[in-house]
Amino acid sequence: MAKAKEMTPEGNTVEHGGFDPLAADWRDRLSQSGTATIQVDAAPCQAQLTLRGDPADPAFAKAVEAQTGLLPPPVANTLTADEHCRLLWLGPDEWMLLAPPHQGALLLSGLTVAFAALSPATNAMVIDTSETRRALDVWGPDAVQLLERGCALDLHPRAFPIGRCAQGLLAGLPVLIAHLPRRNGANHPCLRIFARTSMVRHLAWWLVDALAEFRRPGK
Amino acid sequence: MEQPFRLKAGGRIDRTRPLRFVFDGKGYSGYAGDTLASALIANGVHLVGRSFKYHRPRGILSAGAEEPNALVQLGLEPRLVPNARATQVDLIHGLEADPVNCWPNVRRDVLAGLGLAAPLMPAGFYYKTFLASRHLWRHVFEPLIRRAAGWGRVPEDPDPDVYTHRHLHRDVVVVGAGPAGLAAALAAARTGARVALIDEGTEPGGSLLGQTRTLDGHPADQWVAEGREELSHLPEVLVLTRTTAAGLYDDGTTVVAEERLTDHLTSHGGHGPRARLWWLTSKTVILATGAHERPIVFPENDRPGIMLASAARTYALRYGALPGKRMVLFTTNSAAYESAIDLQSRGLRVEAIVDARPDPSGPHVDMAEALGIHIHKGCAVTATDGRHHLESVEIMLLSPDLRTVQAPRKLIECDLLCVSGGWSPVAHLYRHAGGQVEWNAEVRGFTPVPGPGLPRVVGSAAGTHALSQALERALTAGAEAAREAGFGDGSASSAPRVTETDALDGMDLWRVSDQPGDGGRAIGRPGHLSFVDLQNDATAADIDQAHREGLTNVEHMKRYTLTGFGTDQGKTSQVNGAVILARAVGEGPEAARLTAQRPPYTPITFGTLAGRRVGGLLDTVRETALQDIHRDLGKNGGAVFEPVGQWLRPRFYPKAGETMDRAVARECRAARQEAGLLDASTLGKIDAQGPDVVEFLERIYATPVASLPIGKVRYGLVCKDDGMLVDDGTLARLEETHFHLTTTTGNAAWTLNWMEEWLQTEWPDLRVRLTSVTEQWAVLALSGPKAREILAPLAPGMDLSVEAFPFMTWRAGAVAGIPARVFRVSFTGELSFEINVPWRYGPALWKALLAKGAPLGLTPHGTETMHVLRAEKGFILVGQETDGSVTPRDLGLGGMLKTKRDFIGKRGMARSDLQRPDRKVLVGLRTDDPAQVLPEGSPIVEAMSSARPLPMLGHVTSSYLSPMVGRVIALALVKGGRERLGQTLQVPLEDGDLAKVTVVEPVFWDPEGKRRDG
Repeated sequence: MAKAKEMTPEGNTVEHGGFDPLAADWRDRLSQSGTATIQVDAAPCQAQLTLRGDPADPAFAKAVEAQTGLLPPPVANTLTADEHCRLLWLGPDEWMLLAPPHQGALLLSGLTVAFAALSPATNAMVIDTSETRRALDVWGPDAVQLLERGCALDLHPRAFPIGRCAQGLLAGLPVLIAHLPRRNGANHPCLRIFARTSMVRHLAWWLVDALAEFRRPGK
Repeated sequence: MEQPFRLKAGGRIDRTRPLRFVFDGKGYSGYAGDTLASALIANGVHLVGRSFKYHRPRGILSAGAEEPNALVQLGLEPRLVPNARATQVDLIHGLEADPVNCWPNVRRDVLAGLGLAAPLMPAGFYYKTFLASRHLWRHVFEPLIRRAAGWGRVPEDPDPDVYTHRHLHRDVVVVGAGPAGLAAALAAARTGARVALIDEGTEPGGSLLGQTRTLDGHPADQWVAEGREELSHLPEVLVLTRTTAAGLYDDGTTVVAEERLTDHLTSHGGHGPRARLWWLTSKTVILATGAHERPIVFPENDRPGIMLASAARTYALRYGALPGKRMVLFTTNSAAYESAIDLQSRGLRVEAIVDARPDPSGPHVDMAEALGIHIHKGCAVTATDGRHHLESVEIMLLSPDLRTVQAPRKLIECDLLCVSGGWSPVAHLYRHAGGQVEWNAEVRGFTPVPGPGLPRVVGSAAGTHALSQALERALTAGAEAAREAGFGDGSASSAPRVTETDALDGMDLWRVSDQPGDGGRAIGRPGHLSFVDLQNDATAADIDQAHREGLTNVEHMKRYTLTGFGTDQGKTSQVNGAVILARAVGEGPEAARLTAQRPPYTPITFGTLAGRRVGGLLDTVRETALQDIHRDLGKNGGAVFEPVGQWLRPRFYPKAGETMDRAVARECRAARQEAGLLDASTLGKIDAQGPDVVEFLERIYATPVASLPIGKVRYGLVCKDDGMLVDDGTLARLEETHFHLTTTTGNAAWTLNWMEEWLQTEWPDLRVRLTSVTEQWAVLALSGPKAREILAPLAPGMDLSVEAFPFMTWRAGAVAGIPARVFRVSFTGELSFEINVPWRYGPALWKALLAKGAPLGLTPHGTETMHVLRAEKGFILVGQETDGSVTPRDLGLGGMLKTKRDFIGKRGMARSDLQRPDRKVLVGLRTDDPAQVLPEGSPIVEAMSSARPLPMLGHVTSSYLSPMVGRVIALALVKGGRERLGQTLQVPLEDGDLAKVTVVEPVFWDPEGKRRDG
C-alpha cells in the first residue's frame, strides 16, 4: 500500500495511504508468473479524466488542446500522446485523458473552466474517473497470444499496431486495451489493459492462471 | 499371428513403432499412425459393438467422422471417454477400449435377442406403448429401457484435465486440409494474407493420403508434403491438425473448432491442456469439408464386414490393413470400382461387383472386366448372412422401375461387402451459416447453393468430384478470398496435372425393396431390416410407417423414427432418410428436404467448451476497496461472504464460535442501539449532467426531479414502459444541471444501459452526459443513534446538527481528512450518514470510523443485517419484494408517483389490469409462532381445502427473526392485502405443516419515524 501524503485526484492532501488492488503481493504474483516470452505487471497509477464533447465543434478541440497539449484523436480506436499525457478514443464523443497523478487536479479544473465557456450545444464535460479503472501491462513476444486466450479482439500487430486502443471483453470482463510504444520509460512496447477497479484482481488472477499454460514444456 | 490382416508394406503407419492396446478385454497390437479402427481391422476384428435398439452385431462402416457404429468407451475413471469414434481415435500404447451397448461382452450380449422382437417395436413404439401409464413408465419401463440402451458411460469424478481457449483473427480460414483445402490455403497464403488451415485428421492430405494417384507425375503424398512444407515457411499461416470445426457462427465469420492436444500422446493426462477451443474469426471462410460416401439401404445391410467402399480402400492404402479376404462391391456408380481394383491389387479377392446400373461403362469398368472381375449388372444385394461377421450375400435382378427385385437369387460367399450409393457433400458448416443445399442431379447429392455473405465451398463439398477441377477451383477460391481481404491480385498458379478418376456417373438407388416384384417373391424374411440410420436402428420400414401415420415433414419423421439423431447426427443416414420419405410421398430426391444441421459437427467434451471458466474463474468476482479488510476481519472469527450480482459482499461478521443467527442479532442490536457500519460501495453510482439533465431524469424517473433543490436528496423509482418497478435509488442534486444518482447493486449496469438506450436512440436531442462512477466512490453507511457522535470529531468542518444537515440532504467536506460527499439518507430507519470518498480511501475511512466508533459500540455489519433492518422498516428490496410484475402502487409507493408529468411507465400503469383492486400488494405478516421464519416464496392461502389448484392469495417475499421486535417479521405480496389487514391467513410449509399468519402493516419498527434524526 502506498504510504501517507498522497494527492487525491482533486489535489487535496490526505494523511492516509491509498488502497491499490494491485499492491505488493499481487505485483509479486504477476511478475513471478512471467515467462521468457511474456511479462505482466501493474501499470503505474495515473490520473484518468473522462472527456465528452462534440468533435465537430472546433472550439471543443481547441479547448482540449489548449489545456492538455493534445488534440482528440480523430480516428476511432486510436490515441494521441506526448511525453506527459495520452488521450484515448473511447467513443464518437468520448475520450479518456491519462496524465501523471499530480497533474490530474490541475487538468480537471482547467478543462472544467474551459468547457464552461463553450457553446451548450457542444455539451462538453470533464469528470474525474481516476478511481474507476486500474491498469495492467503485458509485454513480450507472446503477449498477444496470452490475451487471445480470452479476448475476441484482433490484437495482431497488423490490426492493432502501436497507437491503437480498443474496448472489449477479456476473460469475460470489460476492458480497454491500448498498445503503447513504451512502458515506464523502458524501451519496449506494451499492451496496457484497463479494467474496472473492482474487477482488476480477477483479471490478474486470470492472467496468472493463463500464464501457466505458457510455462509448461512444449508450449 | 499378430495383425494377420496387415499388409507387409505400404500405408502411412510406422512399422518400427508397434503399440499394444486392449479391446473388449483382449490384447492386440497395432502401429503408430493407426486409428483404433485400422488396428482392429489389421487384427481381423470387425465386431466392435452392438446396436442401440436391437442389440444387433455391428462393425466398422467408415474411416472417418461419419462413423455410426464403431463407438467405443475409452480410458479409466476419471478420464472415461464415452462413445468415441474408433475411426478417429489415434492408437496409443496402452489404450483401453470397450464396445458399448453390450453385456457381458460384444460376442455374448444378453440382449442380443431383442433383434427378433423388431417387428414388435416399430417407430413410435415407445410413445404408444410406454406412455399409457405414467406410473409404469417411471418405475418399470424407463429404468429398463435406460439400462438396455444407454451408450457409453460418463465419468463420475471431476475432470482432472485442463482446457484452454484461443481467439484468432485471420484473413482466410480454410476448413478441411484435403486436396482442395490444401490448394485453397496455399493460394491464399502465398499472397501474405493471414491464413488458418484446419483439419480433423492427424495430418493434412485428406483423401490423397496413401493413394495411388499422381499429381504432376509425383505420388500424391509428395504433393501433400510439399504443400505442408511451403505453408510451414509462411509466417502468417497456422495449420492445425486434430482440430474439428464444430460450428460456424456470427453470420459465417467465426469457425469454432476443437483442437485435441494430448489424447494422441497419453491416456492418463499429459502436460498442458488436453484440448483447445479455437474461435477463428475470418474475413472469408472457405469450406473444403469433403464428402461422405452414402450407404445403400437394402435388407440386412448392417452386418460386421459391410463397409463403405472408400473406407475399405482407405484402410488398405493408408493404413496397410485389409478389411477382408473375399469381397463383393455393391455400387451405383463407377467411382467405387477404383476401390475394388485397388483392393484386388493389395491381395483381396473381388468375388463380384454388383452394379445396380443395367449398363455400366467407363475406364474403371473396363479395367475391372480386364482384371477378370465378374460384374452383375442391374443387380442388387437383397440379403446378407453371417452371425457375427458377414459370410455371404444374396443378389437378385432389379426390375426396370427399381422398386422391386426379381428372381433368380444368387448367393455369393464373401467376408467383405463394400457399398457405395454415391457421395453426400459435407455442408454442415455451410448450413450453420444459414446456407441452403439443394438436390444436384449431376452430383447425385445435396450441394450448397451459393449466396451473398456465405462461405466459399470447394472440392467435393461443393460437388466437384474430379480432382483436377477441384484443385483448380480451390486455388482460384483461395486467391480470390485473399484479394477480398486486401492481399494479392486474385490470380492463382495453375493446378497440377492429375490422374483422374471416373466421373460420378452413377444412378439413384435409394432402397432395395424387400417387397416381391411381379413374379418374384418376398425376399424379406421376418426380421430382415433395411437400416437407414445404423446408430439409431431406424429402418426404411420405420420411415414408411411415419409416412403412413401422417408425418410427411422430414423434421417430424426424424423425431418419430430417430433417423439422424445420435452422436453421428445422421451423417450417413440423413440423405437416404429424407429421400425415402420423399419417395413415400410420391416425389423424387429433388423434393426431399434435409433436416436442420446444428453445431457441433462431432461431439465436443464439455471441458473444452468451459475452458478455464471453472471453479473460481467461472465468473468475474468484483471486490470493493475494503475486501482485504473484510477478509482480515474474517480471520478474527470468520466474515462470511455472499455473491450479490458479481460482487462478493460480507454477509455477516461472526465472532469466534458464533452462529449466523447470533452474529446477525448482535449486528442488528448494535445498529439500533449504538451504531453499525456497512460497506455500501457496491451501490451503482451514475454521474448525470448537461443542460437537459432535469428533463431527461424527469422522463426516466417515476418520481419528481425538477423540484429537488441543490444540496438535497430524493428517493427515486425507475419503471419500465409496462409500469413495473425495475430499480430504486437516490438522486442528489449537486448543481443546477448536475446529479449524483444511485442504483441498486445488482441493477447498476442494467440501469445505466437503460438510460443510455433512451438517450442515444430515443432522445438524442437531449444534451446529457452519463458516467458510471460506481468505482469512483467507496461508500460507508454509518447508521445508528450514535452515528453523529462518531462522525462529528472526524468531520470538524461539517455541522452535523439536524438543523444544518437535515434528513435527505448532502454535504461536501473532509471526513478523516479525506474529501467526501456525505448523504443523510437511511436504509435502516436510524440516523444514518452514507459517506462517499474516493475509492482508494475507503479502507482509510473505515479504519478512522472504527477507531473513533468502536469504543462507542460501532459494529461492522453485513448484508444480512442490512436486510433485517430494512425489512423491520418495511423498506422494499428490488428483486426481493419485486419480480418484474410489481408496480410502485402495489408496494404502497403510489403517493410518490408524479401525477401530471409523463415518465416511462406512466401509460403502462394506467392499464386496467394494474388498476384492479385485487392486485397483490405489499403487507406485513405476523406469525402466530413468534419463532417461525417463513421460507421466502412460500404461498399464502385463505385456508387449506381440497380445491385443486388451491387458490393462492400471494407469497412471502421476506422473513427474518427480528431481535429488536423480538419475533419473526415478514413481508408479503397478498391479493387485496390492504383490505385484509387483521385477517388470519395460512402459509403451507414444506413439511406439510401450516403456519398461521395475521396480515399487518408492513412496518415493524419505529412506525412514527422518530429515530431517523437520532
